[in-house]
Amino acid sequence: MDQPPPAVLIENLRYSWRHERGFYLSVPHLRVERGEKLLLKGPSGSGKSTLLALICGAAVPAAGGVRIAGKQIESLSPSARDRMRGESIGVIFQSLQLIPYLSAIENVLLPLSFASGRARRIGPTAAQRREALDLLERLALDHAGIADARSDELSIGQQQRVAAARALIGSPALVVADEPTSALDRDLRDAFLSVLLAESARCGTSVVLASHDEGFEPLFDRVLHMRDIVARDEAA
Amino acid sequence: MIWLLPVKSIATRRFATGLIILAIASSFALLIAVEKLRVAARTSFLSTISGTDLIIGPRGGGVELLLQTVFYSGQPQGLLSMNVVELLRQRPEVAWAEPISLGDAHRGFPVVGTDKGFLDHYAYRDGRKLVLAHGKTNGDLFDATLGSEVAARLGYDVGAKIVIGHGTGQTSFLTHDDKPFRIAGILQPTGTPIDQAVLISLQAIEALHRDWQGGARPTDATGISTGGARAGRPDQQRVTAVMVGLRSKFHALSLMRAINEWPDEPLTAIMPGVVMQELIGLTRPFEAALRLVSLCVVAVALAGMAAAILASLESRRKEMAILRAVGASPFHIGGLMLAEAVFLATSGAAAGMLAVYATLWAGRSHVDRLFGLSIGTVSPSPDDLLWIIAAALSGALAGLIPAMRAYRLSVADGLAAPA
Repeated sequence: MDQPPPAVLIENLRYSWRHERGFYLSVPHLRVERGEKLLLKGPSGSGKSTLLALICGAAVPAAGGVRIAGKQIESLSPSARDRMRGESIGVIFQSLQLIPYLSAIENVLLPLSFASGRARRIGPTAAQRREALDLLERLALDHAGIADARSDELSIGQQQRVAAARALIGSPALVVADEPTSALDRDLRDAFLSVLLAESARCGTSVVLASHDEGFEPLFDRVLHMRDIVARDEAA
Repeated sequence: MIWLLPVKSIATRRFATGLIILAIASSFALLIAVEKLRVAARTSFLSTISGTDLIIGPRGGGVELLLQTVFYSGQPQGLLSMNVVELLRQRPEVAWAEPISLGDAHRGFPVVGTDKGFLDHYAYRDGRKLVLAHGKTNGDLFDATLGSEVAARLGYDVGAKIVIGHGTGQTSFLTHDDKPFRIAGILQPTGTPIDQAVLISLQAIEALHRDWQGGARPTDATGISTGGARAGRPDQQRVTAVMVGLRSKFHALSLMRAINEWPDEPLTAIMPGVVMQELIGLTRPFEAALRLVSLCVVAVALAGMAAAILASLESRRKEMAILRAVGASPFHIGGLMLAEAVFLATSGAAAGMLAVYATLWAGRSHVDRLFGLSIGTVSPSPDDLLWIIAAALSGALAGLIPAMRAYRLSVADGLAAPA
C-alpha cells in the first residue's frame, strides 16, 4: 500500500523579497509528516513568517518547490492556490484573528464557505454547526451563549481558541500557526497549545507552529531552528 | 454564509452605512419624484381637455387655436359666424357644439363667453365635469361663474359684483363698468385653465359690446342700459371658436376635411389631443434637463458611496487577510466589496422609492388640489423595477473602484495585514 504523501515537502526553495533585492531565503529541504507536530523556532526576522507564507501559498518561491499533501503549489494558478489553502490548510495568526462582526461559531464555520471539500467531509449544514460546536466545546468554549457571541466580545484567549477551531474544522491536512501565543499570558499559552495540539492529533492534522517563545519543545514531535533549515544569503 | 458577509459587515458599520443609504435614498427619491411629477405634469397637461373631439376656429395655426381656446393664451386670430355653429349642430355626426367667445378679461383673468351647454359638455381629465363649489349657474344676463383660482386670488364670493375689462390685458384702461356682473357661482378646482376663467353667457358678451363703436366706449347718448340689454337679449353673431363633441371619433377626420373645405368662410379644425402632443414635444428639452440634474444628484451620491467604501478599506485590511487565510481569493474579496456597493445602492434606491410612494400616497390629493397635477395610481410599476435594476448596476459600476482596490490590497497583503 502506498504511503500518503507528507503534509509538507519543501525542496531547494529559494525566495527573494520584493523590497530587499539581493537577499534570499533558501530552504534546501523540509519535510513534515502527516500528523506530525513541528515547532519552528527562531528570532524575529529569521524568516519564520515568510516560510509559513510560502507553505500557505501566499508567497511564491523564485525557485524550488513546495508540496502540500502531495500538491505542488507554486505551479498552481493564484486562484487554485487560494482554493488549495482553503481546502488543505488552517491558518492561525498572531492576533486579531477573527472577523469582528461574525459570531464565534460563524467564524469557525467561515472556511467551509470557501472549501467545499472540507464542508463535504463534515456533511450538511446542521452537521457542520454540530461539528463547530463540538470543536468549541473541546477547546473549552462551551459556556452558555459563547458560540453566538460576537467575536469582538470575547477575551483574547477565547478569540485565539476560536481561531484554533476555525483552523481545525473539516480536518485540513495542515495547520500553520504564526506566533499564535504571543498575545497570551503564560498560563493561557500552555492551555491553548495543549488543546490545539490535542485537537489536531484527533483530526490527524499536521501542525507547523512558528514561535520564538521558550518552553514549548516537549509538546511537539520535532523542533527545528530556522538557522538549521534556512540560509538567508547575500546574493553572489 | 459568504454572501451574508457584506450584510453583516454593513450592519456593524450601521451609522456610516446608514448615512450612505440615506444619501442614495434622497437622490433616488429626487429622481423618482421628478419622474413621477414629470409624468403627472404631462398627464395633467394632456388631460386639460377631455371629450372634445374637435376645436374649430377661423383659418389659422392649430397651436394658436388650441392655446387660445383651451389655455386662454394669445390673441384671437379672428371670428367665425354663429351660422357655422348652427350648421355644425345639424350634422348627424356631431353630438354637441359649444361656441366660446374670448377677448375680454377681469383683472387679468380671461372672460369666456359661452352658453349653458358648455358646463354640461366641457370635460377634463378622463371625463371629469365642471362642478359648482358655491352658488349656481348663470341665470341672469349679467351673472358670472368664476373659476376657483379667480375667486381664491381675488377673494370673491357669491353675490359680489365685478366689472369686466375691455380687452385681454392685466390692467384694463377701458372697462364695461356700465354693466357690472354679479358672481352667481364658483367652480370647484380642476387644475386646468378653467380655474382662471370668468364664465359669462354669449348674450352677455354681445350685450357688453353692442353699444361700443369701433372699440370706443359708448357715450351717454349711445349707451344701452343693463335693463335695456336684459330686455333685448341680443344673440351673439360671431364667436372665437367652437368646441365639438362627435358621436364617434371615427368621424373626426372626415369632419376636419369638411371644415377645411367649408364653403362660406375659411375655417380650421384641430383635434386637441394631437396638437397637445405637438405642444408637449416642445417641453422635452426642459424635461431632459430636469432628468439630467436628477441623474447628476444620483451620480454624486454613488460617488460618495464609492469614496466611503474606499475609505473603509484601510481599516478592513485585517479582515481581508483573515478571509484570504481561510481560502478567499482576491476575486472573492473584490466581489464582496462589489456586493456591498450593490447592496447599498439597491437599498438606497428602494428606500428612496418607498419614501416617494409614501409621500405621494399621503399628499396626492393636496398636489392635485393645489397644483392640478394628477399623480395617478400610487403603486409600484414595472418601471420602478427597472429603476431598482439601474440602481444595482450603477452601484456595481461605482463599486468597481473600491472592489479593484480591495483586490489589489489583498493580493499585496496576502495573509499579512499591516499591524
